[in-house]
Amino acid sequence: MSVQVETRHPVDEAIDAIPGITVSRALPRLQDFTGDRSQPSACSPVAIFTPKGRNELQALVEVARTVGLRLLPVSSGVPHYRGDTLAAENTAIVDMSAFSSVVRVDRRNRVALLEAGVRFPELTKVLANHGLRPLLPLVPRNAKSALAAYLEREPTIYPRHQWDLADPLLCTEVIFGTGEHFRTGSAAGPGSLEDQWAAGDAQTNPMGPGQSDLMRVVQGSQGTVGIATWCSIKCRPVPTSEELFVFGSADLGPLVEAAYHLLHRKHPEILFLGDRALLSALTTGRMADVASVSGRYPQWFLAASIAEPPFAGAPKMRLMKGEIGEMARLLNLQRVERTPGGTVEDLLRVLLEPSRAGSASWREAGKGNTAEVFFLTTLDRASRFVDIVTAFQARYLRRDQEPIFYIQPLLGGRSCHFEASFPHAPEASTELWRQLPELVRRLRAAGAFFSRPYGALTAAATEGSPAARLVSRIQGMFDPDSILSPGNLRITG
Amino acid sequence: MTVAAKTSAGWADKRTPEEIAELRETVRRRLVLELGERWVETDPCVLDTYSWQYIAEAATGSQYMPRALAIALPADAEQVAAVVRLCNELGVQYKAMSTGFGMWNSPIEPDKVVQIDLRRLDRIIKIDAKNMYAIVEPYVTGNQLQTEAMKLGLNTHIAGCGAQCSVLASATSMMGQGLDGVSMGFSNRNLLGFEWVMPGGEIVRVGSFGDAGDYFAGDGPGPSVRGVIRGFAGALGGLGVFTRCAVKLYPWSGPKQLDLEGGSPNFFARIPRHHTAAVVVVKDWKSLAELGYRIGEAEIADYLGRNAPSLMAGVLTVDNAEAAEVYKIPMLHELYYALVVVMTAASTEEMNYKRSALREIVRGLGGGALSNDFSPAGIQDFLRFLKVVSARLGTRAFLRSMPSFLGLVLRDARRYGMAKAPMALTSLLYQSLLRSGMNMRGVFRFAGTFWTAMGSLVTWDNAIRGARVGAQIKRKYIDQGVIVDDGGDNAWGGLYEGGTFSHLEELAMYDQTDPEAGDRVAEYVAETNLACVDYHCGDSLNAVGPPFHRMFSPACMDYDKYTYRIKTTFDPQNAADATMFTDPAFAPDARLEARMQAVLADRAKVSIDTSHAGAPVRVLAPLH
Repeated sequence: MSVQVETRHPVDEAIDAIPGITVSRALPRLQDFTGDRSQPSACSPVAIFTPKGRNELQALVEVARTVGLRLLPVSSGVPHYRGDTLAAENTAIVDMSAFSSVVRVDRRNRVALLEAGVRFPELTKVLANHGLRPLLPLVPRNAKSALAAYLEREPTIYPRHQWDLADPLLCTEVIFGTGEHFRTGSAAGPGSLEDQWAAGDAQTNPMGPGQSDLMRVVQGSQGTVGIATWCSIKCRPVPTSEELFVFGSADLGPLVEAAYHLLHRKHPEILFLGDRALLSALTTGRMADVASVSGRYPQWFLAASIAEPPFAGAPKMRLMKGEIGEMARLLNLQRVERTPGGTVEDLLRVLLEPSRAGSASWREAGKGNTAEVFFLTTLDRASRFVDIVTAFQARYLRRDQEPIFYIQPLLGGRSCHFEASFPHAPEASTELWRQLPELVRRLRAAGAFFSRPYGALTAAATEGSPAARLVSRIQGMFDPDSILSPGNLRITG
Repeated sequence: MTVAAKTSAGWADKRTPEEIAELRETVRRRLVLELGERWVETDPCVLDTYSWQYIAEAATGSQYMPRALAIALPADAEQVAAVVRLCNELGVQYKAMSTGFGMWNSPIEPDKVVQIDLRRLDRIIKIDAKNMYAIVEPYVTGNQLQTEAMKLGLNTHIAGCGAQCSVLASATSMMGQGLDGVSMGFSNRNLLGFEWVMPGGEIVRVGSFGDAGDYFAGDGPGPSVRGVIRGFAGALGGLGVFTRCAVKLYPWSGPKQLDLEGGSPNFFARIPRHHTAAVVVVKDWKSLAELGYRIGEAEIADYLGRNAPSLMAGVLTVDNAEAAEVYKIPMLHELYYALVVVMTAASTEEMNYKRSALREIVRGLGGGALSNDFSPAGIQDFLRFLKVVSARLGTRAFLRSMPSFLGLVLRDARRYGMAKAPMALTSLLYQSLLRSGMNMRGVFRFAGTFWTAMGSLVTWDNAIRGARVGAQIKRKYIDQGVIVDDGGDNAWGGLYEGGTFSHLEELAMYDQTDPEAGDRVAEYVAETNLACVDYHCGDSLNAVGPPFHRMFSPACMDYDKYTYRIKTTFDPQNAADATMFTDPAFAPDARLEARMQAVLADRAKVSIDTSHAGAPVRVLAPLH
């Protein structure tokens, strides 16, 4: 006599264990996660769970450990570009869209607390009602989760207000891969959030609690350590007036000098640099037509805004404008009054109002797809990387796969995010992605630090990296069964 | 992994003296092979020089910590790693120290730990002026780095422990509060890449150095190891040894060298032409809260903090007799609602802007300022300063202050010359803030030593709440005569990163040669820790080490279990002495238990006054 043992699918076991949890196995939804714009995936997710709250999420992680189900948290909407939302085998998506509230905005402490599913357009709108604004990345696509962007250490366009690479992220609530629930920084306590609010506290200290800093461990881990449900973030007051300057130059060098000068003087709110392809992509949504823009727009530009401070604002604005004018004169910078897509004021609106962004990243520049290569370096090293990317493109890539260069000073100018995006037609993706690991190796050899390695570039970006070998140890402490984001950031150095 | 408890008969150590001597000799011999004879020390006299430590009495009841097994003085990271590997091999623990201020640098158990003295790693490796960071070794002090940075138009955060302390230790292993925090942050947040001799002896270069050959970034690839090695506080030696790190530097709009005259203890600092040093006074806690928030948001201050009147009396004077006289001046004695400010500027125009902004803020709150601004507007500010003080004191007491106040000016005239007398107070203030050089004279001199409490990193509103709670608790101990009567409120601290977070710690000065005072101040610390939990004032700056984690961890998401997980993952042999880091099996000894029972039996009455705080913020939506 044989006994037939019924083996149930882990998804069914999870559904049974968590009554009422929303789950979908509908093919159209699953297809959203079967490949992204960087690559197709070999696997389709087995389900999409949409927990309604922290308790359901925690129960889901606990059950997943028990039944051997793997989970991939996703907070942003489609499209995805970096390969970090691709399901591995036996993986269910954890759709965080139900965590959709901006919970609290505290003007006095310049901090907001928001959930994982809140996207930049909504966040910007809610903060504006309280006289604040978020520290935005460069024109995030409109379905990008703010929490996800900050957890990814996505650079913001406000380098002067970045005191630490972790900024503007402060405190977080996390469900670790062990199923444990934790709040980082001063949010940990003593007391509940409500107790802390009643005592005048506002989750503004990102450090600790105690002698470790688990926010930093969750951040940058691409969902392999824990799933964050909410975070508190630094915000900036909306200034009474703000002016954007755009300066151009045929060479990057003088603009780098200008960036150093402005940041050493601590003047700018917004500051970033790029090439005219970036200016075109941001303002028109398309790659610049070289023939039409080459005479009208300089090869490189720097955009910097100054904002009126809350006290003695007029003299400060006079002071800053005077110094900026003098700097431009000394460095022989060309003031750019119009962009390919309109005025400089229009560009400022694009930078400040994420609701104007499309669903696709500006990095596509109208071509239907993009591939990003980005890393950290210092501003004075940027030119060498421009040369490497340009030479590589000329030699190995198609002529119509010209890069867009975006250089974002970080930490008040102490380092920078260097990015070359390659807009391309969707059908050219496979060939392009085959080439890019070699570009990454060349950039690393020249001193590029790939602090945020993603998807198909991870191996090339981290091979031989001394600190990379610590990553698996960190992941093992908080997700010993490797149930979280199984395809992401599996590196050994 | 547990730490042996100290019993009433001494440490629970079953080794015979002969066994200890044999171990010491074995360790010495092996260390000599690694470092050379000159760089290893086991002489008891020398060991004791390492044991004499600030607040040792809290751990041992005496001013000495237990002796180390041996002292090792490696020359570089490779030698540090060799010592660490040797300790792992021999099954003895090690503990590193840089400049070595405080009992947490020493072992807590006798004759079990190799003390690694990092004083030979004393170089500023590099200052990258353009990218505003410096790479330093452990024995580089705040003073040294600042001196070199200023030559290049840069400045550095110096922690409140003073300019004589290690920059690296603050950034990697300790805490890092300071009155420059408003413009230069907290030590944790200034750390970039670093070199770490891991607990087993492997050297790893974290951040960009490993990949890019330079230390400009400390996070990644992927999750940040910075979160493993430290939190609000570092591991205090409990997780390996840090042999090199990069820290952020900040723009300095000042001379390449400070213009100092005279000699210790009466230096006169000439305040640079475009700099402003001010004591800003307002009428009450509510205005003080507003003042902090507004100056923070205005981003005009390079240094901003609160010194309570008693601390100011200490800073302004050179001995206790003089301090007692100054503290009696009713005018100074009442400067409770005051912040000290230094603003730097590169030009007259910038200076004028900053002074205008500060004036707008201070006048908007009905306050005044004593500063080095002798313009008509500056003199008006001073008159407003006097008005605020006189309103608080009453006319009679105010007038009674005048002779003593003039006496102070005459003292300065004798000391520095008539022409400099009007600037003497602001000069002292300026150098005190810039060099972080006089906190120690303010706290050590009155009674010999001090301990501190509250001091969580929280909002400015909550920091003030903590200060007010702490002062009420301290009053009980003052009334019992076990700590110095400094008026009760001696909250020191400031705002960080333009006011994103803040701290105010409640100082308590006592005589460390009086065993009762040492015991009772420990009760004060325990009671303030309980108050932090009960009144939601954040996790205190004393939330460090197993006895304190025992109080705070259950109230803060059981954080210590994760720290312990880190410890056991990265140091499974418990080779790095973790007695100031984490040990969930920690059990208090009889002395600690008795102390806690005494506190619980007689807790100070605390009344919560939130009148200083901003209006409640409405929650927009519930959490899911």
